Amino acid sequence: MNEVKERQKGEMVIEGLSAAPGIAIGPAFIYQRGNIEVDPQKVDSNEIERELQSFEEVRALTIRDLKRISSIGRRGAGNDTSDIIDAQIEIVNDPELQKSVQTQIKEQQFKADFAVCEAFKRYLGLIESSGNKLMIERLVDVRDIRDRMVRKLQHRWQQTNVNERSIIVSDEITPSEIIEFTRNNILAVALNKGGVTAHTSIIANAMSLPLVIGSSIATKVIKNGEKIIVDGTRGRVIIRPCDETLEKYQRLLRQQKRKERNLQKILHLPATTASGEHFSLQANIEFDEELVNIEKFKADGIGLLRTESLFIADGMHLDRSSQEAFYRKSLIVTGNQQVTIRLFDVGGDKILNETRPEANPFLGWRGIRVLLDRKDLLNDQLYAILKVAGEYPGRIKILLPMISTLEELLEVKNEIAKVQQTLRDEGHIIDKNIKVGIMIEVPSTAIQADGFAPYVDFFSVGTNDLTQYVLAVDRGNTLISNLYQQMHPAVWRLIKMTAEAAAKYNKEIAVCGELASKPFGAMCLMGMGISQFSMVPTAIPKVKKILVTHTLDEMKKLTEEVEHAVSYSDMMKIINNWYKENDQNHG
Amino acid sequence: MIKKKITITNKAGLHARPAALLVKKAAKFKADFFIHMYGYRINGKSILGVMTLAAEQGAELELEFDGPDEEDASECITDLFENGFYED
Repeated sequence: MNEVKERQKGEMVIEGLSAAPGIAIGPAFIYQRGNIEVDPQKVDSNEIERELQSFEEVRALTIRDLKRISSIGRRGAGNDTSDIIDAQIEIVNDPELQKSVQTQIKEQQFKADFAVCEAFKRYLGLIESSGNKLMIERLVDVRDIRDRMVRKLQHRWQQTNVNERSIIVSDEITPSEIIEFTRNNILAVALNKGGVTAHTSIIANAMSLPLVIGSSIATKVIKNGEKIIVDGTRGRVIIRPCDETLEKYQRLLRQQKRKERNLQKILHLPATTASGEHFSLQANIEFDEELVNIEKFKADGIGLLRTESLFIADGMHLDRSSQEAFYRKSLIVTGNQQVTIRLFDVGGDKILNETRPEANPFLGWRGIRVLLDRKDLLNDQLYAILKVAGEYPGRIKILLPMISTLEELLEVKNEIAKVQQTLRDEGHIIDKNIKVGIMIEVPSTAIQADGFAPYVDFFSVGTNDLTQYVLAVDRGNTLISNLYQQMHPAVWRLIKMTAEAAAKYNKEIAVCGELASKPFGAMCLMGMGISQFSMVPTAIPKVKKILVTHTLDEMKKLTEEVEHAVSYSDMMKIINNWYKENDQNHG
Repeated sequence: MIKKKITITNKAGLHARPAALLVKKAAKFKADFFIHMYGYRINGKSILGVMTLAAEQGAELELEFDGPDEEDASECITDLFENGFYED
């Protein structure tokens, strides 16, 4: 890091760190956000309540933002970053900080933004003077929280006009700025600072944006508009490249583009196996920001729309109209394709802080069990979904999480009928034939799939939870992570039983767990007669490539092999051989 | 009220991750929880307070619990310290 090399003809290489891979060549755009500014403004005594309230709102919004980033991160980067975000959430929740801000507002009558700065000042000073290196490194994360809250209070999301197709060079940058800038089709990002960018690197990876951090003096030596190279893979920024370097990178860039084009080619192929059977690859989606990936990876609609993000902090949930807006947006983005909305699947490792601590949360109050106890949540969500479903008939499907008894299913269906009636009474158009299906994640439900089948329109197999439940392995416990195997023979058997029940009753079946996003997994599932898969959109190309190049007979043969495996090592042998033969990386 | 002396055992000390874990656990109890160190007394449910202690390995602290569930709180928090916040 911080290493700068001068080469011939003024070429300059800044060695930083790779934070997101890829190469970009283009004009630099020096971006400077400027520090937050606050004045010790006072408010009238009748405005105190309003200031207190905006502080509360901003706290809730900040937590929601942090949870989003943490959730995007958990699906991509390592644990270090989510540890930092966890700590940041605790800062927003800090009772002493809240008290201090509230006192500043109530007693000094300061505006909330100034009160927040004052409250942080003491802590920042104490940490700085502690002399503890680890703690001082974290100051940036503490300041980040202060700045987030202050900017929100000042409604200052200063719109910066970034040049189209430029490379952002900056001291540091926030995740929300990156998301903002991707709308201007920026090519890459190079940042002076290192380490500070935990969140930023998560987002850059999710957006396939090359990112170099720790490029020290970049903003000082690079001129606005000057052509530079950012090599996110090697963590390098090159200024005034000589012809030789430029040529080399143009070659690399062409390779990168060729790869992207090949990917695109695969994505444009019809979704049929080598022997002509049709299949469908859908997207798992949680946040607005991910919706762009549906078009990018040509997903056949959304097979799993998670709705937990609709919870703001502390178990609050959005009102009906905000929910409706989220659902409508997902329908607009998917053209005329279907969107499967899963009801709030809270509890377990998810949110809803109001829950009392449970000894075994994964075996406890979660999914449909929460919703049936909290009819207010259930009915609000059903109302929002069913209302939007009436606007887009035939396009929404409802998926119920964590169903373990037939009674639960029947009770929800009864609630759905009641809400439909309410909507009709209110004069709304409804989708009379809306499809209702259940998640297959509790082993007993898989075993009894033929009992459930007459009452559902479809099954969706959630292999992540199904695996942990049937193998009695907590998927978050690192001590036993070697036992958590989605390709365990017992998991295959349960899926097979479910697929057979679906076929017998002529019901749809899809798989939305991680298993479907693995080429080998998708092959075997298709061999079992399942042809609908939902996955993180970025996995679609590799799965599609495998499915279009194999015949159904080949898939069936593979399925037969995995069905006869007993030990996990037998299974691993089959898997390894297959990957070797197919010249594929495990993935 | 329960008071308890304790020494920090994990190598990295009470940095951001353990501090987050500590306040998260402490928040689950009704009992007030304070940490005494070098004559300072901070609210153990405040992560910023805990961070300002910048307590390193070997630092000696006194924990104070006061409230209806102080025994459970004391047991839970002591366990965290004794296991070095499950770090090393």
